[in-house]
Amino acid sequence: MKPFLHIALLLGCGTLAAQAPKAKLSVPRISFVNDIVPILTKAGCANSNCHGSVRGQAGFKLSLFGYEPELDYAAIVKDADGRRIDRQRPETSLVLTKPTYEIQHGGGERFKNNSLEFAAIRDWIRQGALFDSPNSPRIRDLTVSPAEITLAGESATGKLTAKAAFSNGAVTDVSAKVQYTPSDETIVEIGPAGELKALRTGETTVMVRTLGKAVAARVYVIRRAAGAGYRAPAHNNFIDDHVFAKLKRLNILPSQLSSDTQFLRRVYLDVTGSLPTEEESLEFLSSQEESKRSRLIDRLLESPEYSEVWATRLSDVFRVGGGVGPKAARNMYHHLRTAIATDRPYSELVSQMLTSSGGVSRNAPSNFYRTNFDLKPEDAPITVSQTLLGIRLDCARCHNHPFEKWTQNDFWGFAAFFGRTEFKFTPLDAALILKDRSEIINPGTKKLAIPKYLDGPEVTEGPDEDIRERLAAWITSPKNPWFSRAIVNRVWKHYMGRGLVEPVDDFRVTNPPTNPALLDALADDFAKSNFSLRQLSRRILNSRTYQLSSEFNDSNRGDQINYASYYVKRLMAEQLMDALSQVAGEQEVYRGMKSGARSFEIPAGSPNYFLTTFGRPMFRDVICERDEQPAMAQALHLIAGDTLNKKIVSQKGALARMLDDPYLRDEDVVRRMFFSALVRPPEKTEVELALAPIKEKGKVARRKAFEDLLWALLNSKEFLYNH
Amino acid sequence: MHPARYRALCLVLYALPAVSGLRAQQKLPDVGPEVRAVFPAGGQKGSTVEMTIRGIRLEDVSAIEFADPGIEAEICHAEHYEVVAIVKIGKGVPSGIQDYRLIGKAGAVVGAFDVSDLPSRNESEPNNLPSTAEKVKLPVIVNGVIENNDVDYFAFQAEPGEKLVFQIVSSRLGGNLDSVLTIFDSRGNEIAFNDDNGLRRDSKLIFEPKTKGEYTIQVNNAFPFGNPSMYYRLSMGKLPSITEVFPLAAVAGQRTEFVIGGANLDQVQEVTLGELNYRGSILEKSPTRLTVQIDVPGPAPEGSGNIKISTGALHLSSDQSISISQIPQLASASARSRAKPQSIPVPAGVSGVIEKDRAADYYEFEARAGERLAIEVKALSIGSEMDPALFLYDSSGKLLVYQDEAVPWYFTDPPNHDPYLVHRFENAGRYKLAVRDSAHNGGAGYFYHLSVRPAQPDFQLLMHKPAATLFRGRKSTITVRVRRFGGWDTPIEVWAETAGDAFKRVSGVAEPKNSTITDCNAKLWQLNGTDVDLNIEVPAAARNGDVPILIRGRGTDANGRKVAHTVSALYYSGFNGTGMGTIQHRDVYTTIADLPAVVMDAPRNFAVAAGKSEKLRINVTRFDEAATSVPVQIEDLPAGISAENAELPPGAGLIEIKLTAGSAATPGTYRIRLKVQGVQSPWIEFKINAAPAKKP
Repeated sequence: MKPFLHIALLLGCGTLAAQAPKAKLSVPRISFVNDIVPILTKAGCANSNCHGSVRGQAGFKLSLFGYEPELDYAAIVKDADGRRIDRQRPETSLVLTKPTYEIQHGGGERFKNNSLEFAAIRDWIRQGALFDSPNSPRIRDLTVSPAEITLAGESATGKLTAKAAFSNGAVTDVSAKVQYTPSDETIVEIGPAGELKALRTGETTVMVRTLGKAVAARVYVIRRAAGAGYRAPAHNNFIDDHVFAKLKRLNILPSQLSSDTQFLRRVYLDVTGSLPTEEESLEFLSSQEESKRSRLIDRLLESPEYSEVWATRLSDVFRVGGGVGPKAARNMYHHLRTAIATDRPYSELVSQMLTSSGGVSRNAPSNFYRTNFDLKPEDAPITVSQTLLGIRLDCARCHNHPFEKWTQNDFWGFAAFFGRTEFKFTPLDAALILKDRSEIINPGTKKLAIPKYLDGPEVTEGPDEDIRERLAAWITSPKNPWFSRAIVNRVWKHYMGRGLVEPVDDFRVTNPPTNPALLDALADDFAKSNFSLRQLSRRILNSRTYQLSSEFNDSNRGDQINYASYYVKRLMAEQLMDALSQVAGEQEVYRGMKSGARSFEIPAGSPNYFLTTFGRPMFRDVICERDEQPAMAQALHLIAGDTLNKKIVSQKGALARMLDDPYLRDEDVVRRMFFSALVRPPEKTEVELALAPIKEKGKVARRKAFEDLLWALLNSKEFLYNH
Repeated sequence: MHPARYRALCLVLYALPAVSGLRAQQKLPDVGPEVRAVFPAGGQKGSTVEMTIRGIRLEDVSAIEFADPGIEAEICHAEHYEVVAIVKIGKGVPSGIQDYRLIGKAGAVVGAFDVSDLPSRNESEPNNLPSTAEKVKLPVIVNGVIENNDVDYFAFQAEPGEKLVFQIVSSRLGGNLDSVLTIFDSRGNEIAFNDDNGLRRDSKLIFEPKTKGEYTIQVNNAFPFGNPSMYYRLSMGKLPSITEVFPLAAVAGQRTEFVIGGANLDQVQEVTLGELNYRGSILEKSPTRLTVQIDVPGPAPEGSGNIKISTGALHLSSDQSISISQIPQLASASARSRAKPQSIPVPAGVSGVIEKDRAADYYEFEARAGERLAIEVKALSIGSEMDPALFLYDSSGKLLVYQDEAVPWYFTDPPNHDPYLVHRFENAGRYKLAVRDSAHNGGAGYFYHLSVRPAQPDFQLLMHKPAATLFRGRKSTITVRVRRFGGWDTPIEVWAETAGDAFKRVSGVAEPKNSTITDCNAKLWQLNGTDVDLNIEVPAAARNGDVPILIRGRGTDANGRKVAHTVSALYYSGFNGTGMGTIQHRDVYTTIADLPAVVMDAPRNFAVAAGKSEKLRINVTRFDEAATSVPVQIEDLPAGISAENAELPPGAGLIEIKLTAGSAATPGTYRIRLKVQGVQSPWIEFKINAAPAKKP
């Protein structure tokens, strides 16, 4: 079938479906909403960097990606004295001469004057440039199939098909009308109607967009499909099922299982935040028990250190510290730690926070609202949606979201749940109180905002009701599509080094998880376990996926998102400080804390230069600011800063004690240092290298040489990273 | 900026002159003693305690007078930074916090001292690790201090069936500790924790061990720092403790049955109410509950007091305040529905508890057309955790008035979060009230007392500081706060006078309009009352020393009724100066003194190396109005030290003396002080260090 006729029929479908048969037209009636607006999106006119931006471009403003066709119609037909269209000579309308670059146009040529797009707009003008009737069908849903597609071999081809479901029940193939945007253009090339051509191996997300709707498809390009010789490793649990299924699809082999020493160091750091002691290490390594790994996991998950690590992690998420002050931060930390230790259902913890009120010092959960000194109710939806649901709503405060479906009405409807909250100061505390009524005004409608669930209905607050209770029930419901996924994603990232969705608080249709089936399975399992964080941790830690070696093999060398090997990650600030203290045998002293307090015990916000330098967040913003990327200041601090050097040279430290022990030979000291720092014995060559400077310099400088060795160990990548 | 720091900053910048009671044309200095730390801050009845008081300007302290004559103190020595006194506590002294006055030549300061029946001991450092926890035998009170980087541990034995009470007293004694108590078992697991006990910074734990063995309690500061002002007294043991009392009012001339909840109450033998000790009869007794009948005689004036219990050996007072009232009292029926409120007469008082979150109590009453009623909810002011909000509706359900507090609280004032409103009812009919916590919280500690009664105009006079220094030959200002009630809307005359000839009567007028203050963010705040400045001019020939002062006020209400009152003084304690600690009503003390020619703020120590020079800098304020330079004498300057530029020019705010240690100067520690215009600075610890070693 000729493309023109094909497209013409497609263009007509949306209108024909709604209208009763009329007198025969030479050209089907063109719908502004369903035919013209998609052209503006596909051609890029309504993008956020052009006429779809907040202020428009060159005096011409369209709604972003066609969210609001009524506004687009007014802009084209009515604004600028209506000179954007010429009903007498449609071809000379500005709305055609500009995008075809017949006259100067800042956006360049968007389509040609012999294109279907040109013809559609011209014909629409000829037909009177009318807006759709109120009963004309509107898009209800957009889908793309397949949602995942694998192209095997270079230059392999494929096809994405986009379908739009309309309010009149019609479902139309709109593949030629939608806009395709790959997140990585070097992996796949996409034709105007969804044709795919592989460029190189990798995977990418293709955003498909029209009429204010957006969906995504995942495209994988591999060299060749896995054959019969593909040997899948043993599976420990459902996590491995999903991870290895994807790896097989990509024809990637997972790495070998980690060694006992690798696993031991890794799991101690991840679960307790500390290195194992020599006794703990020897006990584990010498055990021949088959289930020793899972027994160790169980034991560590019951330890108080586990609670401290996750109290710190949740303090990051809930931004405890910063503006709440040290007393409230301490109480909130204590509250979180107790909840983790007793494995209180995460849903209850969150529900309590959402419905909290009262003084922040006495009612620790109300610190959740005290992220800023002066709480504004309109800040609460950003905090709540991002921390608890993994959704970023902030763009929608002022305009409809550019990459997601959230509108300004969604934002202010969500904000309305917090309309009655306010902070007041009492002698003891800042207290979150509930005013008698909400006063939040939706700036778009200029009316009082009505509480509305995201993707859900509006609700009316009853007299004497705290509408936040209903919000809490909605958020923590097992049916909420985001709640469980958001937290399992965060927990997954803690252990695995990378979330299934990255950034972890940016869940959107156009940023899908790298393994949707795994994420769904984890979320489902989490909800069924009554939202037990301990059980979730247990699942992840017991998976073979978690226990893989960090060493690549030939097939997975380039993988950074599918967990074919364990991803090496730099120690967290607190892990690093405690590891340094533990190995050097010299505890850090924190103001106001008992001697020997671990870094994970100090409440968020307590000032400490080392921890801040190594990424502990300052909690200025909703986005978790814990930065685990290396930086020059960190390297310099380790190399020449006081923190490490004082610990190494301390006369009461581990090194001094070992050197004073007459029963320890130099080789024994070297072995202990390696074991303590790296949880492994040194290789023979390492011993020789370590001892060489010591033997040469004699007794006086023996101490100094060992200090240098310790310094070198603690600055090594093997120490600084969890692998 | 954290609210505590914000308040402290504004306090320094703006509020001190407003509430210090000392304001004159030129900002006059504080010359009286200032206390920063006390140790120990209490003792056992019948014992003698060596008390060390630290602060500044203590060298002239000549006496410590306790409000109770059963406590005597003898000064051992007094120097600028420290006073040591021997305090003898008589056996008959009532238990609880007793006030004392530290009297200096140029002023006085009021402090709080805790008298207990329990034996006291001072902590023994080091006890800042669980492994070095100080072993104690219960019951006991330990006196301790949380210094910098300090945490205190105490180990004790406990067994199942016991209910042990651990109570910190610090902020109520003027300490700056915001205490945190944590109990650990023998394996180091945390099993109990308390930061704030309701709305009190002083922590309290009631602990019931599940197993027999040794436990450890940790005392820490909620903030990550410590210093000598963070002193505390920790009582520990199987002690009686009151957690709640109901109802919250007794009617004069009637018998009231009280239910008292708490711990270890089966030990109680005697219960009384108020300062006049109205005796109660115990009807029922159990470890957690007492039922007591108390008869309050008919002529008893309206007021408030605390329930006091005694085991014979131990005496304890409730934190909760009980009203003594002349109007009928009811118990709340916990009507939780606006559609079915509890009907109450007018006038009436109602005792209620919002025992769970989200709850509110509803009441209904009849009002006549034109009637003015005063509706008050007391909660915070009687020791409750509740921050009440009050709603008044007409019969159709229309909200007429919503009040959280009468005036938004300004942080240098005593807290005033309890609603109080006077409403004129235009129409006769039935009206509804709702009472709830402003944050929708609830619990056993969320009790309140509601009163609805005809508005009776009245007023109260308050001084926010119980002591003032007046300077001879100068005008000094004492500020009196006038608080109006019951719709008082006429001027009130306030005056100060003395029996002798120390100064002439001065007066001022409080117009019926609240005073305002602008904070450091230029935000305007309304104060809870009207401030009247009494500018007292003391003749130059007046006699120095303590002067009894009478401050009174009088006015005529709109109905022609004449009212007069005497001022009460509030004693502040707690580091934020808002009276969250001891608040009592006592006499006002004034001291007449000479304004020093110069006030110097000298460093506590200073050092110079042999062969080197250093500048000794001292901030100074002159009050001698001299236009010439004056010499600065240095007393006890060690041999080998020379001084240059030892003079104070006119208008200068700083003395900078260059001190050079010659080669003959002998390294060591000495004491020097400065003398300007007859005024001596405190002693300065002066260290001469050895000459630095020369580099090869």
